[in-house]
Amino acid sequence: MDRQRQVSRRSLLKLAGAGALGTGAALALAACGETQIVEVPVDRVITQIVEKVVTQQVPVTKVVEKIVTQQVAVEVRKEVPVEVQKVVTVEVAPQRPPVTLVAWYNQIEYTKPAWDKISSDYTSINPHVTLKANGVPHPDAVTKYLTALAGGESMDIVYVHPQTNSVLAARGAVQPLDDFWNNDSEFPLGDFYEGLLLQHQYLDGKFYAIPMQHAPILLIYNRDALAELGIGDLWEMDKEGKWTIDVHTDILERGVAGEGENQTWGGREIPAALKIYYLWVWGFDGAVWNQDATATHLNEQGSVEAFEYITRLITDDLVPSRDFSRAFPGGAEGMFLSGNLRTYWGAKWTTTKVPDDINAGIVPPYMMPNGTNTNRDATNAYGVHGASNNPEEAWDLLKYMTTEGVVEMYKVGFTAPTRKSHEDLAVWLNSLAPWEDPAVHRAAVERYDRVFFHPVRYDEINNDFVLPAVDGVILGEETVQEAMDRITPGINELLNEPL
Amino acid sequence: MASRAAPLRPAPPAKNGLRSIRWRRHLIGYLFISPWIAGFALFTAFPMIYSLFLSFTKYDLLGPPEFVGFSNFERMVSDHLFLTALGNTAFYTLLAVPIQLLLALIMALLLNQKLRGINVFRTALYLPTVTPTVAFVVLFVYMYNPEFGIFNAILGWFGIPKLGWLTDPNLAKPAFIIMSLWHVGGQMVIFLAGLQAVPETLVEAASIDGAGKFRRFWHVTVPMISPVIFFNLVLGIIGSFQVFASAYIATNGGPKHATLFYVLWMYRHAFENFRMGYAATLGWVLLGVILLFTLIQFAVSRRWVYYEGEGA
Repeated sequence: MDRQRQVSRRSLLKLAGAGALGTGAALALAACGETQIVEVPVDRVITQIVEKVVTQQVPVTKVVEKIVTQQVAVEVRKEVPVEVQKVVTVEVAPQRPPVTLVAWYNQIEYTKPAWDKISSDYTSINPHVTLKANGVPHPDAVTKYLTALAGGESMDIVYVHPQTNSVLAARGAVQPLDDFWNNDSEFPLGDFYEGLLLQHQYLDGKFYAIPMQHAPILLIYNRDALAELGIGDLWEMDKEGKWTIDVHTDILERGVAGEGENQTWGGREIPAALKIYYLWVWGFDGAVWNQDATATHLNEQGSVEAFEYITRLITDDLVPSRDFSRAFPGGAEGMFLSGNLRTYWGAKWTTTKVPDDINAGIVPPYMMPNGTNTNRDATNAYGVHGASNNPEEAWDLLKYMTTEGVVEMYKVGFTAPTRKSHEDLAVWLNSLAPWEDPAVHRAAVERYDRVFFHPVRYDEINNDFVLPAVDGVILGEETVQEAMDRITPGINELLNEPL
Repeated sequence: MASRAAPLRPAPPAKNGLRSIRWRRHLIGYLFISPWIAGFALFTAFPMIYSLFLSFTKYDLLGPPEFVGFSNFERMVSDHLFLTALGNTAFYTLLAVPIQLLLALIMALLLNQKLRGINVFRTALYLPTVTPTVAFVVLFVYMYNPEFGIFNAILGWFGIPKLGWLTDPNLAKPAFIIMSLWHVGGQMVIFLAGLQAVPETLVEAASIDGAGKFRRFWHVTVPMISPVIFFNLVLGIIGSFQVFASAYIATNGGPKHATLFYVLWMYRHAFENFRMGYAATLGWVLLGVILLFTLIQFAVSRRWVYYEGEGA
């Protein structure tokens, strides 16, 4: 009898412990907050009257291991002597085999803490995952990781910039994501700004990466410096539909004053890269490529006019010379901060460098001569590597990074929201400078409504043809029409070169 | 049965034994140099052989190399930038190397004086050589700046208008040649060592014969250091054909391809345009060009390089 009594007590304690542990687990999981509570079929119900309240806390993972055996969910009922206090239903993720994922990400000085947090959060939610997140310094990041890939480095998550989207997609280095997100009902596809996703659409119509950061072009301006020219707030003008290319040209023309190091300008040159020139080419009713990117239209009327405008700013000394900007401490940004520039082209992360004592403002690019105000965006996006051994796990990680982890990027001021529902997040709004209007960022991304297609040979076209041609025009060696006519056959040859 | 008497003299070691001793000695020698052999095989020989293989392939880093025969060589002939890059590099080499040698020799002559504190000057003149390339290139970019740069400031004293050192295609290559003089310290040290090895007796003998300073230098010193000049010349030409970092940092090949040097162009094809096979072809062609120049120098050197032991 004694023996029976002893066994019974142990059993009772076990049950009490299990009940308490189960409750603890349930409460702990419920406390995670973001996890959705879903009603699921219950395989086994543990219901016990608890005579003694056990307050000891035990790691959640142990509880799951002990109580749940090959079941998807556990319902735990805890009853105190008189009444049932609470019924909690918790979804427990099915156990997955251990997996190691390798993600190479684009590391910029202040994004590392964000990445560290994302990595630790993800692995704590998914204890079966060992995540190796390798930060690759931004300069030549693509070259670095392509070389690593060639050297046999395995990778699951790949950094994709719009400029390299075609290169990677065409060579199968990243997988199309359409199937992943179509088969994943939880992925909030419609919540992403469409323009951001369009950056990563390839010629086959499929999407190869999801942005985790974006940087629409913004003009950063000094209100006081513009007031000296009798020009009001540019964002206010934008809202009234009065912010046009002519206004900015006027700022450039009237903004030049002083001499030497104290000289001031209305703004700087349009950053020298074909990917930026797209906006002006379109704005002057030109086209960069034909529909299937097999021919360029850079030597046609609208495009030629755009390049005439771009080069005229330099040849007419309306902007500081490249040498001047480069040698100035801090470059063009330094010139703006020291008052030598009244406006300059930047993006979200550059706003973090503007001190509060400058009466600054931001506005998306102006309305072009043809009445459009399309914006350009450079996304830092990620895709699933073409040869990933764990594509499903990689997708889960990618989904987490781009839907939840992205919030960490808002915290460090690296990006404006990539998802519409994040526009009102406190973490985003708190990251803004006092002078920074979130409406400008929203307008900037909403105006991003065209695909900025970068052909596979984009870099070659830009470096070997377009930029030297622009240099020649600036040096007065040829007209824009002559330069574009000269380079067009070579560009077309590259566009049609088989991979 | 009496046993045979033991030989009085020890028998000479068998041929096999000698071989064994020699082999053991060789083995020990090879063991000592094995780290170098392993390094050479892994990091020089294998990459060279592999790049030769790649030069006959189309390889974009992401897929396996695909054999294409001689098409990379054919492409090179029709590539509009091949001659530009080669021409830029040849121009740079032909001007930079003689100027570097002359400057290094002058500096070495100055530092070969028996003066108090000469070591301070030697250190000071060698110091620029140990400056990291990125640092000195960035420094030169500032110095070349048309608005703030010291070069234009000096020219301004003489009423010469501002020059676009790195933005004018006609000036960009000379600007790089001037920049290259920053690193002549290595050549200078080798010249200095050569000058210090010139026998005093020869100089004294020439002096007694009535030779002046210039004639002593031209007829005694120069012949005696001619192997050193030759050494610096060969290495200087090889180095100049491989100019890369300064152009990559300062101009990235611009303006208008004026500073698109051969190795920079090769790098772009390999790591920016993902034409690794074509880049390997360019690498082998460069090796051929350098080899040709070196062989010519060796052939010509018989006429002007004097080796002390040979002339006796």
